[in-house]
Amino acid sequence: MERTQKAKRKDPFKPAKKKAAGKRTKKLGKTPANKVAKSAKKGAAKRTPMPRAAKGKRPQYFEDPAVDKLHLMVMALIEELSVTRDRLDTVERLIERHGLFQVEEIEDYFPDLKADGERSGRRIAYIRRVMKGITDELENLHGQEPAMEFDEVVDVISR
Amino acid sequence: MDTQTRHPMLVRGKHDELSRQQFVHNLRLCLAADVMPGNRTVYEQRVKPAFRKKNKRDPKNRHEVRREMSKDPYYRIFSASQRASQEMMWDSVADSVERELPELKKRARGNPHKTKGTLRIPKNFKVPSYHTAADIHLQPGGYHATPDGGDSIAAGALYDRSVYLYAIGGMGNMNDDLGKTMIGFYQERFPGEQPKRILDMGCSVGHSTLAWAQAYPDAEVHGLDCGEGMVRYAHARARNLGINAHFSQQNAEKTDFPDNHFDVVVSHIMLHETSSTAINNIIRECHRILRPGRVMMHLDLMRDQGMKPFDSFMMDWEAYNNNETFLVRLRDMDWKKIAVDAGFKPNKCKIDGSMMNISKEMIKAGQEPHYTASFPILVGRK
Repeated sequence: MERTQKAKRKDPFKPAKKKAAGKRTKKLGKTPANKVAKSAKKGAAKRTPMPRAAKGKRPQYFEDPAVDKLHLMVMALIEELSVTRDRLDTVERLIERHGLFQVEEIEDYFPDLKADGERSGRRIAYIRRVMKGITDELENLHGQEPAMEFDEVVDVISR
Repeated sequence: MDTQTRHPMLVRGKHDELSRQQFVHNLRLCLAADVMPGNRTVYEQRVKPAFRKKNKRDPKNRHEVRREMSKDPYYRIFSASQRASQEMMWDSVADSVERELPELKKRARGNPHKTKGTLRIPKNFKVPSYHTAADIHLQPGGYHATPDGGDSIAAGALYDRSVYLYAIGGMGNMNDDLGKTMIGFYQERFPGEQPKRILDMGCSVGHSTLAWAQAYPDAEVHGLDCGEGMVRYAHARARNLGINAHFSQQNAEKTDFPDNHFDVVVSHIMLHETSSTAINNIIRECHRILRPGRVMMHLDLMRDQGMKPFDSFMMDWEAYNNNETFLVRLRDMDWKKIAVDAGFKPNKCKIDGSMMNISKEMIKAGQEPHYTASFPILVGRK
């Protein structure tokens, strides 16, 4: 039932009017705003890149070097989540500073049925994306034929 | 909390850059406060008993402890995370430096306080191999990187902000606590001296050098370093802070200063970034440029001698994981012998030590210091 409701609702990520959006993109080519964007791009290209990797052999901390890489990825994710939370905090503080509403209202906010449904849908899509790696193999198990090994596929395409 | 003094030359971070830097700052704090102490527990409860069972004795030195600890999953994830925090630190600051470099260079050219500090960069300087073999502290490109060409200050800009994060603010808001520590030590041990010329070897961005210049405003204070971007930045930093100091790109092994020139020659955690040959050359050079009766002082990390194997093993962490490689050798060396070989009389040199100034100040104020360990200082009077 939720699905039918969802299908009827407008996608919030789609532009309101396709035509208007297309026009705007075309027009942009001649506006001075685009010129600024171009020159900014030029400036960015001129930027001197700092060296990013330190010379010297990196120790291997785990039995499998892939775990070292995975650990670095996890660390980067922890960092970026922290950055996102900080950014949100900044938004909240600026909202309060400009008197749009009191941040306490966030703590006491309860989504109405509509908002709750939208959040739920977004959350489920997000979790599915994260869990995709785990559930992918089920697709093959449910399929009519068992998945072929790589070499078998090579045989097929070599025929 | 990140309370580093935002002086005009300090790189300014945009929102997310700053957030990443502060994340690294907090991450290192958590690693130091929560995770690192667990290594001792793991060693005492798990690693040492297993070793004892197998060998019928305790590990006898730091190297044996390291071999055993390196197999332990707790120590591994600690080390991997500590290493990652160091890499993330440089990367988070490099983003800001890369973006702000043209602006920083503009500021570097100014002399708002009309200071008299000079800068000397030789034409064909050769960066010593102990700097080029591996990037010390994992600073990408090393102290000597000049990614932005002939007037580069990039390495210094990167270092000034990063070293604050590295020390989790433990060197003070101007990163000058090691300088203050040495000044306090000097005034305690050699009361009443009024040095006219002071040299800070391996000064990097001059964060300790300026502490000396502020303590002795009438003295001629010099800082030298192998990194061109370091001394260029040090010069700009001093000028923008309105402090008189002279900087030059030089190798401490062989400087261009005349004989019998300085009243004080110091270095603040520089020795462990040199080599077995270089350290002998450096101490010999100190003897040459010091005026008779005047002193050299080199502060560095704890030697192996007199330390328990586990504590000594932990002191080696930066050597094996943070490209401070010479530290391993230096900690076994007889520093006094090096000084004697360089010309200092045996009764005129010794390994002394001092607690950090910040810790001393906290004790004075009746607070619990974060860190009470003493730094050894090689002292020699010519």
